Amino acid sequence: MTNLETYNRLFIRALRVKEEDLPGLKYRGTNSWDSLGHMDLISDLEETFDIHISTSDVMAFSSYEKGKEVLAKYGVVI
Amino acid sequence: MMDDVTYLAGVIQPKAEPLKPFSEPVLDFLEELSGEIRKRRREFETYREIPAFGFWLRRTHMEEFRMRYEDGKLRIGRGVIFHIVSSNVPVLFAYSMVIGLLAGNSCVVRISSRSRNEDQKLCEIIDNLLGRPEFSLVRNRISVFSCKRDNEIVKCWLEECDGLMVWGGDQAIQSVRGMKLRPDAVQVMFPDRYSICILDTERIGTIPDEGLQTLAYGFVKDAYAMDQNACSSPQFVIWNQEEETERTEQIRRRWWNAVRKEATAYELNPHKATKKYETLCRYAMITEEILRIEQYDNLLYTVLLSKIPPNPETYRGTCGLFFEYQGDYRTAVRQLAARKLQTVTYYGIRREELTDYIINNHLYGIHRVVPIGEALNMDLVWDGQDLIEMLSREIVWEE
Repeated sequence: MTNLETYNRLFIRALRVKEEDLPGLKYRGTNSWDSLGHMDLISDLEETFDIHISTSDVMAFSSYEKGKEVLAKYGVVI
Repeated sequence: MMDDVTYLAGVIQPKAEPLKPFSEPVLDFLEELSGEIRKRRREFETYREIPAFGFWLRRTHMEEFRMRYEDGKLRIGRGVIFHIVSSNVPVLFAYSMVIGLLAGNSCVVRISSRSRNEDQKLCEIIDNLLGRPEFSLVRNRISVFSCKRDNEIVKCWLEECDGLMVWGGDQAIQSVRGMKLRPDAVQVMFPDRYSICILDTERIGTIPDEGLQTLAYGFVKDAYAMDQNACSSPQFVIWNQEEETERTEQIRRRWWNAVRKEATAYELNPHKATKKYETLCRYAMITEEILRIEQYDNLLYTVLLSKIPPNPETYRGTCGLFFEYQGDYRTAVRQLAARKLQTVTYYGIRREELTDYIINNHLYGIHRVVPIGEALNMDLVWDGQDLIEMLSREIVWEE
C-alpha cells in the first residue's frame, strides 16, 4: 500500500468519510472531524507512520492537504 | 472520621520507593490507559475532557516529555506525593497524578467529595486497569480517594508525604500551610491565577471568514470549556492598535460575532445565565472605566474599558464574559502583569517581542505565552515551575 493509500484509509476510518470527500476536506468541515475525530486521526497517523506529531503541528493539521505538508516534516511523503 | 473515605483507584497504603523519572512500568501503564480511553471514547461524548486526557497521555507524547530530561543528570523520585485537587476542573486530578508518577513517585490523590462524574468515571477506568497483574507495581504506587477537606486522613498524609501538590487556589493553600508537614517535604502550589488574550486588530482584520471562525473556535475552547473558571481561561481581551477607528470597530464586532457563533455549542443553562448576568451587573456598578457593554445574545457579554483598572486580577468573567481594552498591548501588559497573571494567548503579535518585553521590563506576571486554542494544554512546566524537577531529587556527584 502506498503512503497516499494509507493516508486516505486512515482519514476514511477515523472520520467516517468517503474517498471522494477527501480533497479539500477541512478540520471542522464535516461533523465527524471535530476535536474528538481529530485526536483519533492524529493518533492513527502517529501509530501507522511511527512518528510523533508535536502539539503545534497537531494544531496546524487543519485540512486533508495541510496534513500532507505536516507529515512531510516528519519524513513521511504522501 | 476515616470511615468517610471512599477509595476510588489503587491501594489504601501505597509503597513509597522512589523510581527514576519516566520509568518503563509507568510509561507502559500510561500507554495502556491512553489506549483504553481511546477504545472507549464513544462513551465519553459528553465528557470530552477524558478523551483529551487520553490523547495527552499517548506514548509518543510522553516520550517527547522524557526526551526533554535526557540531559545526563541523575534524577530519582522523592517518595510519596500527596495531591490535593479542587473539583472545579474536571480530570485535573489525573494530570496531577500522572506528573507525580512520571517524576518517579507514588501518588496519593485526594479528590473532593463533590467530585464530578468525569472524575469518578476516569477512576473506574484507572482502577480496572490497575487490577491487571502486569500493572501490580504501578497499582501499589497509586491511591485515589475522596473525602471531605477536614478528614483525618488528609492530616495524616500531609504529615507523611515527601511532597505536596495543591491545585485549589489561595484559600486551599493557606489552609494546608497551616497544617503540620514534614520539614523536608517539597511543596508545589498552584494559587489563584488569571489569564488574558492579545489580538492584533489589523491582523485579525485580514483573516478570511473561515480562518477567523477557526480562531474563534480556539478562543471558545480556551474560554468556555470550564465556564471560564480555569486559571488559563482568558478574562481580558487586549486589542493591539494605535487608535480606534470605524474600521477597528468593525473588526472587533466581526470577531465577537465569530465567537458568538462558535459559542452556540456551549451549554448555557438558566443557572449559568443568571450568574453571568449578575456578574455583569456587579461590574457595571463598581467599575468606573466602562466605556460600553455589549451583549451578543445571552452567550457572550463584552465590557469595553477605557483603561486597565487597578487590581485587574480581581476582574473575573464567567460563562463568556470578557473585559476588553484597546491600545498598545505593551501598555496593557505592564498593568496586567501582576504575579497572578498566568497565561497569555495571542494572535498577530510576535511572541519574541512579548517575552522580551516581560524580561526587559522585569514583570512579575506571565508564566506562559501560547497561541489561541492552547490555553488549557497541560505541560510539565506549569505556573513557571518545572514539575519533574520539583518532584524528583537530583543526585549531584563528583569523582
